[in-house]
Amino acid sequence: MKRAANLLASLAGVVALLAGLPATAAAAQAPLFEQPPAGVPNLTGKWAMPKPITHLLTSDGKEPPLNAAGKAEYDKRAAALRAGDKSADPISGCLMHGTPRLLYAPYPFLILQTTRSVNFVHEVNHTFRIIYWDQALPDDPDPDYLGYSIARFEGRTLVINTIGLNDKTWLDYSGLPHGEKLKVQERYTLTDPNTIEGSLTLEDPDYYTAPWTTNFTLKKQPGMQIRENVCTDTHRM
Amino acid sequence: MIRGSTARTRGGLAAGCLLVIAPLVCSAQEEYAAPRPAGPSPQAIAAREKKNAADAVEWNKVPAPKDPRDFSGVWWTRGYDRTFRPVTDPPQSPAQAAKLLPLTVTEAANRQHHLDMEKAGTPIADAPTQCFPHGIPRLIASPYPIQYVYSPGLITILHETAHNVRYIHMDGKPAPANTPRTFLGYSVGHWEGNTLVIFTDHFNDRTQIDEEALSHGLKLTVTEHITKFTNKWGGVELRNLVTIDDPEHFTHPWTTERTFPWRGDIRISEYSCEENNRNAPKNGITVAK
Repeated sequence: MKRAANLLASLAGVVALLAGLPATAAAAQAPLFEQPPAGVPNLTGKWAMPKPITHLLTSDGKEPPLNAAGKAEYDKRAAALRAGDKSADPISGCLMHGTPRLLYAPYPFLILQTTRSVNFVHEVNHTFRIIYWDQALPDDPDPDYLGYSIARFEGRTLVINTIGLNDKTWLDYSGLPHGEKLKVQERYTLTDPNTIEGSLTLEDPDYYTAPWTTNFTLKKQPGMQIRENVCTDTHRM
Repeated sequence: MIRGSTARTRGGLAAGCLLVIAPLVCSAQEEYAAPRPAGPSPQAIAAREKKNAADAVEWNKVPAPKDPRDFSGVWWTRGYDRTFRPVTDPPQSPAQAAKLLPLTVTEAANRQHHLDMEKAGTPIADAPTQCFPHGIPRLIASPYPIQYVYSPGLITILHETAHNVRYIHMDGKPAPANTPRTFLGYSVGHWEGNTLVIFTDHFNDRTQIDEEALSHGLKLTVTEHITKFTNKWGGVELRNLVTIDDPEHFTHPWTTERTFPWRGDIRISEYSCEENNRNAPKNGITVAK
């Protein structure tokens, strides 16, 4: 433990040293990170949804346009949930929330925007998405939980398009279904330094009669610590 | 840094010779065709050299960041060694180096129990078989790629394996009061020259040191020294010297090592441990592997 104690002492020394230095010198000691080019918003930070959303509604407050197959599947899930049976919910078995449900998990997450990729690192079950600034989506990616995503800025709005999603995830906590043809467009607009107004547009001909859009708000959580969250541990599978 | 210069010596030896053969044997080979320890043939060595050179070209197609302190991007260790062994100069085989592990009496018995259980076909389940985070330093040995992401006051390391995430706090603050004990602990980092130094503690005692047999307790602390260097084939690598300290399991701190070539040619894939986990243990024993 002596070594650890020494190291702690030296770390404390570094802290004291940094605290006593003028800002410019401290900045020279700081690790490198990239700032986006002038005019491009920087969404990097800790974010959370202040008003948790458990059931998605369209932008004008209506029920999503489920088709007959979608309604049948949704009604089945809703009935089970009403009866207290959560076993059909994929996250009850610690499967990934998937895209886009990850956004609605009531946990904070990091957006880490770099020139290489924009990264969403979620507290919930330590799940992350690494999204590249690619020009085009592949034709037919293998389906998985988080899908294949590409990102770009349209003016001041971060736009993420995703395909290649499997059909093992729910869109929300109420059980809204989707199939493998689902296309998701996420839009994130920084309206002030601490607020993102966002939207999702969902297109899924297997379960919905038309594309539909839902809105959300994110608030920055600078003081919040991202904790270690391990689903298989807390659920005792 | 003494450890850094030792590691460079190791690199030189490995370059001119085989990893497991002492330098004396290597120089002797050039003078007479005496019997020599079994090892790769000159042809095999030449083929490996050629492959390493070709790999460096392929992996550099998207180049690594030039700044020696900028690790952002994807790195992937070569192969997989499921054991951690002390770094020695000259290098020794894992079996030889294992004899140098500074085990306490308790840990010697622990280790033997793990080895016996594995030999009996009933390996003791460690954290990743239950889809728990691997723990540190166990995670550092993972044979899956990793991505460093830099942001103000934080370095985030995204591991493909079981979507492990490490947060290295670079804001100069120690762990907050009431920091919980976790699988991956709480990491604080700072720069010593161009070396990233990470100190991690606040571990729980539910992970192993390595996959094979080494255990740890709540007093574990891990100090990493991570430095970027260019290898002799023109490839870029990170060298991580990992110092493990747990007085209940080891009689003194000891240092092991992993290197991580730059991989500009790949991206991190999705990895779901939780879906169809065939390794899920029963009563603490891994039933299938």
